[in-house]
Amino acid sequence: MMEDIIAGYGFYIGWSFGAAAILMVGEWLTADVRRKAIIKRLQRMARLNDSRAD
Amino acid sequence: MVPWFAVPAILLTIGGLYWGFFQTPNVLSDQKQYYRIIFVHVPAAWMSMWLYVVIAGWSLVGLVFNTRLSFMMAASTAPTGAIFTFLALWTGAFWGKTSWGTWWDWDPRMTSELILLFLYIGYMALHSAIDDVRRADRASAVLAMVGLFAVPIIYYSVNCPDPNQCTALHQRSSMEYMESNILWSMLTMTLAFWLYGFAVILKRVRSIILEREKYTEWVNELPEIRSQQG
Repeated sequence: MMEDIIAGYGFYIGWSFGAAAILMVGEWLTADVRRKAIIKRLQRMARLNDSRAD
Repeated sequence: MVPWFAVPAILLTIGGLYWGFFQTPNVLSDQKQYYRIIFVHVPAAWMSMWLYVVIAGWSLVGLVFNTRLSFMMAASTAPTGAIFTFLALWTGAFWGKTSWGTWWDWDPRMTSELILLFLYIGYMALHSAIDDVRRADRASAVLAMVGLFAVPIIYYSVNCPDPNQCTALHQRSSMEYMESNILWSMLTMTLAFWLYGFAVILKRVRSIILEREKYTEWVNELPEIRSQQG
C-alpha cells in the first residue's frame, strides 16, 4: 500500500509531511540553541560580576 | 514541563501517522491517496487559528492587568502560530494541485489564511521593531487584538448560503460523514500538534523570561547559571 502512495502521489505527500517535519524540528532546535546561548551569556555576566565583587 | 508535552506529542505523531497511512481507506470520496495530506493540513490550519486566539487572549490579559508574563506568552506563541499558518498554506497548495489542479486560487478561505500569516508576521515585526520592551508589548498586543477579526472570517469563509452558486474551491464539509479512521487519525494529529505547540511555546517563553530578567537577582542565582562558573 505504501508503494502505491509513493508511486502515485509521493511528491505531493512527501513535500507536505516533509515540510511539516523540517519546520517543526527546525523550530524546536532554534528554541534550544537560543536558550543555550542565553544561558551562556548569563553565565559570563555572572562570572564578570563575581570577579568585580572580589 | 516541556518533556510532559513533547514526549506525548512525538508518540501521538507516530501513532497518528501510522493510523493515517496504514489503517485508512485509499480513497476519500472522489480523492485518491493524496487526500492523506489532510492529516497535516487540517491540524495545521486549526492550530493557526487557535494560536492567534491565544495570542489575542494573552494580549488582552496583559493590557487589562498589566501582567508581563502575559505579553511574554503572547510573544512566545507568535512564531509557532506563523509556522502552522505557513504549513497550512504550503500543504494546501500541494493538496490543491492534486485535487483542484491549481497551486493557488484567491478563494475566500485561502486568502483569509494568507492575511492571517501577514498578521503573524506583522505582530512579530512590530514587536521586534520597538526597542522599549514594554512599549513593544503593548503596541503588538493592540495589533493582535485588532487582527482577531480574521479568525471568524477564516472559519466562516466556507459558509456559502447556496453551494450551487459559489465558485469557491473550499466548500462546507461535515465531519459526520467522514470515515471514522480518517477522522480519528486527523484528530490524533491535531492533538499531537497541540501538545507540540505547548512544548515549544513553553520552551521559548523560558528563554524570553531569562532574557528580560537577566539583571535580577533570582536569575543570577539559578543553578544552571551558577553550576558552570567553576
